[in-house]
Amino acid sequence: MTRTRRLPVGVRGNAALRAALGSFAAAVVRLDALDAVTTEIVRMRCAEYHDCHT
Amino acid sequence: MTSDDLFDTVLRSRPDVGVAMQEAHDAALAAVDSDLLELSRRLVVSMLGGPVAVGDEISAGWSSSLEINDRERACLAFCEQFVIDVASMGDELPAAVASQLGPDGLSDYANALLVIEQRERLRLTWQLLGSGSRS
Repeated sequence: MTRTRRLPVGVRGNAALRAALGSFAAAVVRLDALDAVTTEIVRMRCAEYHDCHT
Repeated sequence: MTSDDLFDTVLRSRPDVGVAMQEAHDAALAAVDSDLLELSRRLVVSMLGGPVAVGDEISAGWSSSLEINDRERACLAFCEQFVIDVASMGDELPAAVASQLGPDGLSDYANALLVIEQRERLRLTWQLLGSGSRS
């Protein structure tokens, strides 16, 4: 799905909140309890869900 | 057991994640009007079937309630779709939030809602799994 832009260029919101979200995501990514295959399946599911094409 | 106690127990072995989660929660509360965020949290919990204090439930007919204002109505509609299927969110709902909060406000509300929703989903999941009762 291709969506229209919803925020004007340059709008970034609250810097502290963005930084905290980034730190949380990084901490989760560093977890190693799941095996590599399950981790990749979850990552692909999340990417599709969030319309991320990586 | 409070949410904070539950998270502390489950994440005892990974304090870095627990600290980061708490800091994200604190940042969300600081970035968005606390009453608006609490109202949104109550809708999230009501939709996910979690425990809500008597009087705090938000029924399915919230959109026609005369007790909420236009700002809350726009944000709750966004919140509802966010919980149901964020990938299917159309342009109208974020536009309505932006018209009430401004572009930065929309960005902050969406980020704060992500924190709140993830937190409630984790809390409910870990409660169902009995994770908080582990030693």
